[in-house]
Amino acid sequence: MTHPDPDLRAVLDLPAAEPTDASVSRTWHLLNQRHTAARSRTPRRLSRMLVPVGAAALVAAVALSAVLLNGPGGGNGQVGAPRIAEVLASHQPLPAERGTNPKLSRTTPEAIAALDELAHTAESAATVTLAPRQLVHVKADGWAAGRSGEDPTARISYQGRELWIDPQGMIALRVLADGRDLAEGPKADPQPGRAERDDLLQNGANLRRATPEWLAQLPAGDPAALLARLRDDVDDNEKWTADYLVWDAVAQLYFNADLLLSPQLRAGLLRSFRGMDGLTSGEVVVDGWRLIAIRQTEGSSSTEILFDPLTASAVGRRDIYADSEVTLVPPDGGPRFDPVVGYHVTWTQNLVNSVDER
Amino acid sequence: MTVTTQHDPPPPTAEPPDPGDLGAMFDAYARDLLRYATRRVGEQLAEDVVAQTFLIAYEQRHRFDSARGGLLPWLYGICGNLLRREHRTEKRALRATAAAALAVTADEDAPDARSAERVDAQRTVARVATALARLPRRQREVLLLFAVAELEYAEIASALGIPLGSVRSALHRARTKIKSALSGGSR
Repeated sequence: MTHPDPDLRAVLDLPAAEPTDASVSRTWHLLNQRHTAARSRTPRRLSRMLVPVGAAALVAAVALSAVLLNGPGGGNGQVGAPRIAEVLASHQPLPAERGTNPKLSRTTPEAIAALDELAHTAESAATVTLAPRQLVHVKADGWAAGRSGEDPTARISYQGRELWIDPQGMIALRVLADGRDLAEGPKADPQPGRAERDDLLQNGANLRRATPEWLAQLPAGDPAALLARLRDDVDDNEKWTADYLVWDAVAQLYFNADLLLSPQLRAGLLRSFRGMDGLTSGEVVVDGWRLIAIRQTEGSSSTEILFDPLTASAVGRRDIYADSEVTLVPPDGGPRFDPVVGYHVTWTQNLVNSVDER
Repeated sequence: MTVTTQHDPPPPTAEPPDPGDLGAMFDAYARDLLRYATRRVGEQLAEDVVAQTFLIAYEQRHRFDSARGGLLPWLYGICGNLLRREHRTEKRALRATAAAALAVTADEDAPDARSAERVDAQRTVARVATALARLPRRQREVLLLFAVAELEYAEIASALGIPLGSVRSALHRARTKIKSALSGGSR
């Protein structure tokens, strides 16, 4: 934002968050859904549709294989793309029974058992100590679908991200996207994070703008009260249920600051999720690394949070679109995903003292 | 910041995408439009409006005439038409912003200079949000296309389908009211 005039600057300084990657992704998939629906209403184009994909509700073992990449900068030509040779995914069916909220399915006993097991593990997980002014450095390896024009295929591409998160409000102070600093260039914000800080100042800490102090005062030992607190922090709207919004916000919290969660809160969160609707369980295995996938489904959209069963830490996320009629095309030498997986990311986190540290 | 389907915007020298290439158009401009729409109606509604903007643009791509303006102003025009239906939401949000800012100032005792600065900043937010909510719709659109979307006068004229002179006068009036609000006036 480059306007120097005080009146224009004042307009720009009104509280407003920058669009997140998640928001861009949701918009893209909403657009795709509508585009597909519009095309399906046009008989002339029906013959151009590819095989419908409806496998999300089925137990499916999907063997995904790819040639090893040549490491950073090599292989498929995508900078920093990780070596992924094989991904195996399986997931239980979505039950027909409705949940407390009839818009969502009942959370399955298998999902509840998986959450219980993770919670038990979480109680003995390691803790970290956050020093004043320390930041969370997040390194994320993502794979996302992108589509051009009427092309019935969407190409999967690698999206490497590095973020330096201020835990006071979970504010990204620096973002590297595939090695490029998003804070550089003509549209750079001269005061990064200011809008988010204003938001924190005005509205206080909450699920989407957490602070260590806010996390510490959550009722970790009372799962029902904790879930109620989480639900209170998302705005009801006509589009999504509170549980969908809670799950999305929690996934973001894990992405920003999983390592800051105390063992009690980590376990408490997992136990609180048992009271949600729409959860199912499964597994995702990335090159032999077995992860527990807890999936929340609303309509045709699902979001999985991937947990490491050895630590109960959240280490990844996948977005799944059951009614997509787009065929996903893996990059040359890249991983081949289940046809309904539109986004897959795993991350690692560590504490650093500045945005220049890793 | 976990999910994205978009690549970073192309460098300024890159050719604008073809409106027949929905993915490229989205990659190039989705974030700009989301930033603009989110400021006006919040994230949830903005996603809906921006998705619909691209769908309409794609379906009406034969109507796009590059001789009459760029692709981005054309998209802002479509987006603005959709946002017009949400003007009540926008006004409610601006009033809520003003009320929240005033609530913060009411809680502050301002015992030191730093607190006083924060109170002043919140009062400014309240004044500007209130002034924006009171602006006539056209003036608010022109102002936000100029300030937030950073469009030139001619691009705003193209986006809104109004004469250049109307853009100038609407922007002048809107800015005068914001300046007045900043100086503590109540116009």
